Amino acid sequence: MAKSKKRRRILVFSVIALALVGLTAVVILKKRDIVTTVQTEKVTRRDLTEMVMANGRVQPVLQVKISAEVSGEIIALPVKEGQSVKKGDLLVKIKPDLYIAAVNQAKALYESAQAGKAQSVANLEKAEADYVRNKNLFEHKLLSEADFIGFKAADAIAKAQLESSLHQVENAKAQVASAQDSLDKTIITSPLTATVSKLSLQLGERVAGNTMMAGTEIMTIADLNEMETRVDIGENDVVRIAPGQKARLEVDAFKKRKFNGAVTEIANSSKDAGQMGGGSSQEATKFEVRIRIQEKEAFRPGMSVTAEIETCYRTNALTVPFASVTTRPPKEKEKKADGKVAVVADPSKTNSAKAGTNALAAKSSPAAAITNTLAAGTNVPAADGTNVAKSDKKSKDAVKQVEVVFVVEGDHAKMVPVKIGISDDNYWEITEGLTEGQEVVSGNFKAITRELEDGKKIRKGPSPSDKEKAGEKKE
Amino acid sequence: MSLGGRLLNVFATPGDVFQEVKTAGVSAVNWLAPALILIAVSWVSSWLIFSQDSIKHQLSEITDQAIQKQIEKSHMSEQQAEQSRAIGEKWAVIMAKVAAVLVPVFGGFVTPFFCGLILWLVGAKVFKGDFTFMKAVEVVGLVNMVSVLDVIVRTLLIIGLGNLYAAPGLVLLVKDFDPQNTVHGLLALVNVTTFWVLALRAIGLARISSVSFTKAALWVFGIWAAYTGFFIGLGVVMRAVFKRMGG
Repeated sequence: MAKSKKRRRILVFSVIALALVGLTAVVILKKRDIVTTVQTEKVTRRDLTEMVMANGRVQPVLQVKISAEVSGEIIALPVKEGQSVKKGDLLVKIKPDLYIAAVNQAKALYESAQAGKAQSVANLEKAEADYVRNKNLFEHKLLSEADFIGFKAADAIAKAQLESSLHQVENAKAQVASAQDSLDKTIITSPLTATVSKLSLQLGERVAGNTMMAGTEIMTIADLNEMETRVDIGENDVVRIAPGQKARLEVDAFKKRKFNGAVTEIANSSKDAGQMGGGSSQEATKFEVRIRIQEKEAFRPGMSVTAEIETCYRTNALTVPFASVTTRPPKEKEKKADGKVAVVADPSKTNSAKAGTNALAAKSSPAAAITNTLAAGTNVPAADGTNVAKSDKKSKDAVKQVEVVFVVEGDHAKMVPVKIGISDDNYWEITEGLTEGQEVVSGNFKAITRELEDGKKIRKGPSPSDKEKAGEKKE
Repeated sequence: MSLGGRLLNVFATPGDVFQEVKTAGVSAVNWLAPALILIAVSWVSSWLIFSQDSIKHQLSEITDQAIQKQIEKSHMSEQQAEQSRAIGEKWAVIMAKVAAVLVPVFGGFVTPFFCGLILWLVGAKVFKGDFTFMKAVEVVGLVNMVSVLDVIVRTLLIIGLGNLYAAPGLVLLVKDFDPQNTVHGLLALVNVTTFWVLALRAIGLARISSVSFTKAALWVFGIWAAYTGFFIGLGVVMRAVFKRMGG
């Protein structure tokens, strides 16, 4: 009994010891590489549309602000907000009493000037007759020279008085016209067939008129049949916009529909260009772009809209997922035969391998913007062709990072520099560096932007959302 | 039998060890020594595991996946996502280290009393055995030596395979272990050392209650199955509730 127990003890402890020794051997001998789990996708050809997204408001194409040219009290306002009016319809009537009086006064002065003119004509006739008669007497030496000169002067004076009275008549006539014009301006009619989009004043309120500049704004009328969207585009994107480009518009009030539009106008100056000290403004520089809405709907001025302007289109372009493209410093250069070394720090030893910038072009729309720039490493390559001694010192010159994609080669990732073209929300166009059918790393974000290096071991795994969906299906 | 003898013989001749426990007086060292050994071994194991680059990388990946899921649900911008990742990773490491320190202490000191209570209730009340609560605690405490071996084996497997979820069981057959996956969770339960611990507790219960091993094993394994099944079911229900709340 004791012997069997002893044997059992030896057997159990031997098995345990063997297991521990075996596992320890595995720990010591097995190479443990860091394997990064990634998601992959194939390089495919597809049609790509580059878009610029912007927010703005719906406004009428044609909109007129009705303001007063003469001052006074509003005595008639026969229109309401939202009412349609035709060209020539009465919009506003201002109290005309003052202006009627002014016209009457001007007319009276005109009559007075006319009377003055008649008097001048009569005086001239008398002076001319006197002059002729006395001239005859002077020639027959029946009149003294002094008297003759008096009649001559009287004639000249009468002529001048007539001329003056003629000018006074003209002046009075002009005053009548001016007073009549002011009177006419107390009645304001619609300059076009439109809708009253905004009524700023009410019956009985006073308006201040000005002929040199806009007076008190009474109302705004607009042609709501022709509407456009005015959006603000950042300076980086406005260079890609051109008149005629198509746009898809999403109006907040009509969520289930998308409207078509076309770019009609692009501002030459930015919105803050005219402001004092606008150059030092902290806000982003924006340019107004107008997009004509091609469909009719019950739009109201001021409605919010999001526009997607198609700036560029490619058919059958070679594409990779948006997340696949990142930036890295260029690969280290080979040692030259003459011993000159244009070497840079070994990527595996540098901090720069851990940093990168994902998808360079900053997009203006919040949904597509990827501008995540991480701190770049400082161990960087020297410029090509320079004679740089191999050293462990960090280079002070920053290197220009290049766009790269990680191609799957078996269980390793190969860093491939690429040239990118246009992009949409999901894909980048690749113009150089890849061929159709190659498998590229498309996730995870951290691996692509920081961890992956050329030759690093990878394994394919599902994305967190795919895992969750698979779990839901099984349950 | 000396303390060392008891601690070692629990692997090979547990019956003899528990028979001695039954006849001897109450001895706190029978549960205290294995508890202290378990805590010390666990702390060393944690230090070894967290010093491995592959394990740190895996932990970072797990954290990143969880954060990425939240990012996709909440449609954060990439800058906000990056900030969330940094905070998440920092706290994940801190929490893992805190757990690595505290969990063994909990396991070493609380388990003997909790499991001892269950053993005592079954042995004294159901089997009508004549033994005190502390005897049950001593039995469970001595069985904790197998947990020590489990920690050592698990540590070697984790370091050797570079997989944080490695354990001596069916989980080794799973390629991409997902703790959220019910099937994976069930496979993880099929663990050699777990069954060994249960078997030893059954032997201990049988000896101190003076009943057959079969009877004792039925109760020990049955309670374990019910307890495990309850928590699995609770987990499934909670996940369904959270999913519904989250839309």
